[in-house]
Amino acid sequence: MKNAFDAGVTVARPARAGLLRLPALRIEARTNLIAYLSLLPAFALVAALMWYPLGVALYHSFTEWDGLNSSWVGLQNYRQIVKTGDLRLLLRNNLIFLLSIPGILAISLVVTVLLYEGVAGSRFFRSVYYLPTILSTVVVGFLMKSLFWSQGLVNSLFDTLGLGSGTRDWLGTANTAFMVLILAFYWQTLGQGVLIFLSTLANISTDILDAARLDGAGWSQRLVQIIVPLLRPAILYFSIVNVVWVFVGVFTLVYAVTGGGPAYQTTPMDFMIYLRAFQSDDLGYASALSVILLVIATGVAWAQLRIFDRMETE
Amino acid sequence: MTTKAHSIQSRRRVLRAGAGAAAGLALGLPRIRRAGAADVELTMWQMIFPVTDPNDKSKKPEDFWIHQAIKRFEEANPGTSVKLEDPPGAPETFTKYRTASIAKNGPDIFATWSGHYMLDMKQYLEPLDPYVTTEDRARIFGWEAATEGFKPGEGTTYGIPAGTDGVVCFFTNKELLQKAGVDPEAPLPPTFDEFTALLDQIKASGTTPLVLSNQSFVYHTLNYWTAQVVNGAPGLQELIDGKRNFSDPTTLEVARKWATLSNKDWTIPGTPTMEESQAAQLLFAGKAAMITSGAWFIRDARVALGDKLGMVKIPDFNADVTIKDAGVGGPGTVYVVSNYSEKKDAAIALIKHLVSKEEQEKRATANEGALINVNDVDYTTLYNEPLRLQQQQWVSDPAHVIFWPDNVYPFELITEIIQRAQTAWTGDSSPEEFMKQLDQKRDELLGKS
Repeated sequence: MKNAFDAGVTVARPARAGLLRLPALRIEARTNLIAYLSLLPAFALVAALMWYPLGVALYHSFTEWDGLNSSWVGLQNYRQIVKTGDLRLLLRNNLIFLLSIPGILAISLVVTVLLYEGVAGSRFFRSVYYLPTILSTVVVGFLMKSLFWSQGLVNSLFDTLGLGSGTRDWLGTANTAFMVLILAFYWQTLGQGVLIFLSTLANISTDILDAARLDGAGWSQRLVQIIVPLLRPAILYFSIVNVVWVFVGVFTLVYAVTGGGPAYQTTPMDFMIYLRAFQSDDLGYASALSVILLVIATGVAWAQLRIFDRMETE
Repeated sequence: MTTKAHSIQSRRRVLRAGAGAAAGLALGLPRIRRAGAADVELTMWQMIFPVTDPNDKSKKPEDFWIHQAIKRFEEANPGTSVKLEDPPGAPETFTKYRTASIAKNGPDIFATWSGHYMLDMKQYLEPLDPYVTTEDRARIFGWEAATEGFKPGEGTTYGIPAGTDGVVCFFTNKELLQKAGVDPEAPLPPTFDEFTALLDQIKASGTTPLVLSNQSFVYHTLNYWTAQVVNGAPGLQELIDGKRNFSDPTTLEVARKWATLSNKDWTIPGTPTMEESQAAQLLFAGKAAMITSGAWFIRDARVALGDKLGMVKIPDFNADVTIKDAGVGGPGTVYVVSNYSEKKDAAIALIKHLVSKEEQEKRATANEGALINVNDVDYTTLYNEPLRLQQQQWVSDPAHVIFWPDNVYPFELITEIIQRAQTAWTGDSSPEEFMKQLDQKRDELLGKS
């Protein structure tokens, strides 16, 4: 398709044609320049706040660094991480959080459908289910801590019900401490999940569900065969957000509830980075851990997106 | 033409006005700076003096000695003001100080814990030897805790001792001991093995003998008995240097017996996750007969328990130890000055005010927190609490005080001990595993250094 500059101009006069093309290039160059200048502030911010710290962390992962002085030690920090067994323990702890995601996904879906179908008490629940999500994680953490410490409400309740043998120091052993952490995670995340799924369900025609009901589909059949497939985009979003969270966002909860104990048994990678950097002054080691965490989180997110892309295609 | 001339004139006027403003600023700014130079604002962080009273929530920070002492300093030094902050306790405050110091915007003065807690931050601390006089060294005690290598006169002094914690011992509920048929005024059995019989006796009376917190279960008992069996500070240094192992039979035996405090139900469950204040409340509520603590605990305990409050030394680990009838404690706190502070002289002046004879007399009269650590104040006439008097007498006899082992261990090592002790206490790891983990961490630290 010819443009205005080509109209009425013969190709047989190259000099003139060249003169005519010059302003067109200028306009293009100017457009590009404006585009680049417009992007520059965003690029500058990303470079200053993301790429520069990333570069610094990467560099310092090869140094022994106390925040003031650093010396090049090559791969020593990485070797140390593998040698001490820290990495295995930290990955195991992150993996436990990761494995808890299907649980909250299922609970959120069930609660969403119950609310959607308006079961008894759903009106009241609709008004309160989001409250834990707007609470600060630190508040949730301290609440859990006060409920589950050895003389807390949970043990008192067991005693009152005559179930004294069930009392224990919930935060004192790894298994029960993880249970409390995951309970806190579920409690705080349920509102987020239900909100996402309910808003997606609101856009789905009720005719489909009514038709399924008329065809004799039971509650669980409707959930698994109709609602879940229709909610797939929301489920993907919820999963990605929470998978990333278990690698880079679990810090606050662990800090507030268990402090990473007992014996680092509930310490995830981001909490260990904090401990090594700011309590041990070992910022080089912490930088190396950060680089490993970045690689893992990026890898997991990439794999997840690939899987979801494939699912979408199918 | 007129327009052009007008434009030039306008430009000249603007330039002239700009030049005038610039000159004004140039002349004015130094005046502002000179005026400001007379006003010094010091920032002080402190984590060692009480500023709240659990028994009287209506008390304000200004009702406590440290705030009053600073107010007196400000009154005596017009133009100098002090911004006092009371950040949360360790280890968060150390983290806060480190991060602030990297950015060079931490406090001018930090009242903190002594020994390795302080020395591990020495890259941010001002050496204080040039500021400390012979007179200071003579009248204040505890310099070893503020000096690199723990040897005054040999290493660099980074802090000025801020007080002494007394000697850690058992504070008892005498009523509950009496109920169990134990004489509350008598000393406890002299060794750990004999002590366990008494624990059983108390337990049989329906009372849990002990309540320990997530720090005291290591700092006050495990560390004390470990220090006893390795003959105090030199032995602890050997453990740090790798010349002796935590897994050696003598120290392993300590870990084994220490763990029985938990697995024989002599303590209230939940120790590794119990805050010190929670443990204290359980003692005050009569849920346990004894707790370990130091001089700082007396004031609150007296208000809560009244005449029922008793105080006895912790038994020795066995009859073979050389440092007998003792306890951990001593000068666990210091004032330090940040090396990036631009007001070091004023900071030193404030510290010297706080440790002055006059202020230490007022502090002794206030009867709050730790004990005084100066020899020119007659505490016998100033303390109105017999247990504080007793504590001050105990701590005045260095043969019966083991300086805080957690202040002697490197920070990373003591953090590891606390973490690993949690599972050893609950039985999730054996004493052997516990001690081997400490050796491994110590070796890792040695390899790094």
